[in-house]
Amino acid sequence: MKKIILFIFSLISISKAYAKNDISMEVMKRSKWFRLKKTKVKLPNLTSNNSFDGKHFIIVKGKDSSAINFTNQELRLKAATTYYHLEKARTYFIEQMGSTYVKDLPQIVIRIEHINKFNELGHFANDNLDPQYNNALSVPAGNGYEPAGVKPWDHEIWFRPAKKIHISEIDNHSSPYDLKKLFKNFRRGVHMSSLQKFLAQYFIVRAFDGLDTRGTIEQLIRTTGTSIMLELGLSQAGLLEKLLMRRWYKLDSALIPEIIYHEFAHIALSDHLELNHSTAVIEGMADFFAGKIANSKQLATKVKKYNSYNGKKVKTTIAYRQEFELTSMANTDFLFGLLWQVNDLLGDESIIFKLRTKITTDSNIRQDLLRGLFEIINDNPEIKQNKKLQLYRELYERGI
Amino acid sequence: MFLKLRNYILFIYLINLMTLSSAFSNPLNDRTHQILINKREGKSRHLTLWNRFWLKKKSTEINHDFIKDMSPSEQVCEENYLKNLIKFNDVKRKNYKYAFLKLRKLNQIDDISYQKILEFKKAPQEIDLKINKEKLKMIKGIDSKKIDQSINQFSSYKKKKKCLGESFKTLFGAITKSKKKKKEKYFKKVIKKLVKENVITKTSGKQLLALSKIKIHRQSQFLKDYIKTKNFVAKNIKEENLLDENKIGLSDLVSQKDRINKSYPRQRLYENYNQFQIIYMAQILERFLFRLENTALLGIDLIDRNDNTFETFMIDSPMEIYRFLVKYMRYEMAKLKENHLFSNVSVTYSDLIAASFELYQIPPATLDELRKMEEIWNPQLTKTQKIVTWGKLFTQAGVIFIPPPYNYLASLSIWVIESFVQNSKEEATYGHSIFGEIQ
Repeated sequence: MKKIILFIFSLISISKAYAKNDISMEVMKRSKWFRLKKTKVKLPNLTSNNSFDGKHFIIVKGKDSSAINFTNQELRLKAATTYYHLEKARTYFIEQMGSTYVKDLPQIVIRIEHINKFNELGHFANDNLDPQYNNALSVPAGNGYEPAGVKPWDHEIWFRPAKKIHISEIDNHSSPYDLKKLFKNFRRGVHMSSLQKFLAQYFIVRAFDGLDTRGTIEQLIRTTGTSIMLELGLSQAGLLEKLLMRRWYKLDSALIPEIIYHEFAHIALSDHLELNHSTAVIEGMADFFAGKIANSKQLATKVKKYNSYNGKKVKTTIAYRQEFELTSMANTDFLFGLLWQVNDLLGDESIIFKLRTKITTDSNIRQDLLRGLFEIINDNPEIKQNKKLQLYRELYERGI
Repeated sequence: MFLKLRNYILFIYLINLMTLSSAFSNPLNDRTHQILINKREGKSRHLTLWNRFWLKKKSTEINHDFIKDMSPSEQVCEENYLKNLIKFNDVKRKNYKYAFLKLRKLNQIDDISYQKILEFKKAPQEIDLKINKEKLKMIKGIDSKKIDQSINQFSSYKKKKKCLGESFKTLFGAITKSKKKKKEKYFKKVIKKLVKENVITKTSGKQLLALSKIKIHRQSQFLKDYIKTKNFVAKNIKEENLLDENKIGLSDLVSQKDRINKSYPRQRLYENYNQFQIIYMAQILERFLFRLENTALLGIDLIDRNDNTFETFMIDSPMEIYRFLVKYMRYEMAKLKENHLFSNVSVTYSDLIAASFELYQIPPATLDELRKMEEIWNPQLTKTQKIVTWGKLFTQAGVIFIPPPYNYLASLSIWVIESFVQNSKEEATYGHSIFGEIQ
């Protein structure tokens, strides 16, 4: 009898050890008003009781192979945040998009506070070679390099640590203000109204003799004085711009949910869109799904503490430019906004998901992406003629 | 046996005669009562808030089937509607409008028919013109021979199964032929003279003058003409279109005012075009939609003088194909001016849509999108933009009267408002496109 009880007890213990653990922990999560704040949530599918080792994801620090422990106070928040949001993203692709590819993915290694550059052959570039900050990266699987003892690896997501850097160190920074232009417009308006006033008064005086012209010189002096002040302001517009412009930049990617979704989206779409380099199409697709998972038209905004950059927004006012096809402009809002607009019109996210089967990483927006999109639409009898016409018109209005 | 054979032949002949006569009978006889039913127009422009209020208040209950009680030949004449309305329903003259509005609300008639019938609201239901020919011969001051002919024709309009409106128009035209101006005045003078000289009765004279007063003779199209055109167009609707559920239904767009042309598309279509023009126009849009649906690749061959293709451009970008097809459709529309069928009319895009819709070629749901397509090459300012433009103009003028430096504040305010209200949408450029902007 005792042996039976002992046996049952050990069975329960073993099963508990192998069961998925739901542990509650604080993570960075969006509130109702899209504010990022710490919230206690349950972390699903954990297979360990004391570390961030789950059925689908393992969170490690840098180049380590073992999961981050729960007791690691410094990294616990980041690890929990990435783990929680990755699970959410995974669930989205499986349940909403019906992706069997994502369902069958093996455990993905998530590296946080990782500064090494990616090397296709060696996995990690040398520790001292160009350490990376303020970024996140999805890494394709690699075969490794046996002669150097580099083991093969599967898909990974790397989150870089945040580091405050001066805006001048970033190549493609741009000021959100153009104060000089604003001042010039204002000056033009003011001078025009002054001229109109002068002409009106001149004609009135000429037309009606005996009008009281006292105070005219006083007015002239006032006009001249304020014009001089205006010109002074214009000349110093550059200095004012420098004072107003953000000077420091940092991004703690592991704490921003939309960035986590974005990176996972790259993995989820990698069955057709290879992760070999960054292009407008794959970045735009990833942005779209990040927005959908977050249920938000903004990505990485309202997080001043962790992101001093502008984030991305669905903007339907941006017109197409050929520059958007270039790799250097891969991270603009354009395709994010365009795909969102298309989705709003068609009312079916699965069309955008299916679009990945019609394009490749090197596809361009104007031809390949649109051709793929219309192929899917034409094959779908539920999409009526008026929707197609509307899509053509809206794309035309966007300048494509 | 010969007699039997003769009877048999006679019987066969009679049977054939009956079937042939029905086959070649006036199509109006078979289909008129169906034609008047509204199958295309959506919300009526006549059912305004005011009219709907009074319609409800007056609770006009009329026997709607009175139209079906009318014979086919009766239904083509406007005056017969009022005659039958009074005959089968107790409706006062001031409520005629609401009686027919009710019919319109129930889609028993469309806006065009409603308007034409209502033109005859104050017209006599029929004119029984009896002419004293002897007195007519003795009349002086007017050309009695001409009047005799025209009046005689008019007096027998019912026997000839003609309508009051068209007959009166002919009469008026004949009497006032020699006059270039003040035709109504001359007509009134002639009729009064005829009454005075007892050529026609006073009642008939009053009735003719009433018709002249409501200017029936100035109408370019009567109900009969409308029905005739509509019938012909209806016969050219493809069977598969009538069976397509998506293409059946009403649309507000053809019955409401068009924003660009400021007219009512379906009314404009029937007023300005004949049946052949309508059918021709409908084909342009049909072809455009077919091409857009089916074109996967656009090929342009460059052919030399020896008819050899030396270079081919293949264009597979959906937006380039779209641009090309829209431009080609507009080209076909412009080419209509060279067509003898359209020598006196200027076809608008809205007319093409209305024609295509009339022939059941496009679903009602697509109409709105097709109409919006015109804004690509014919953009319209929104109400907000118009208000802002006018407001800016007046404010800028008013700033003149403000002394400096306060005028700077006023200028600053204008500039700030402009920055926020102005449409921040980027202007698209089409430099990357082979076919460029659709203008």
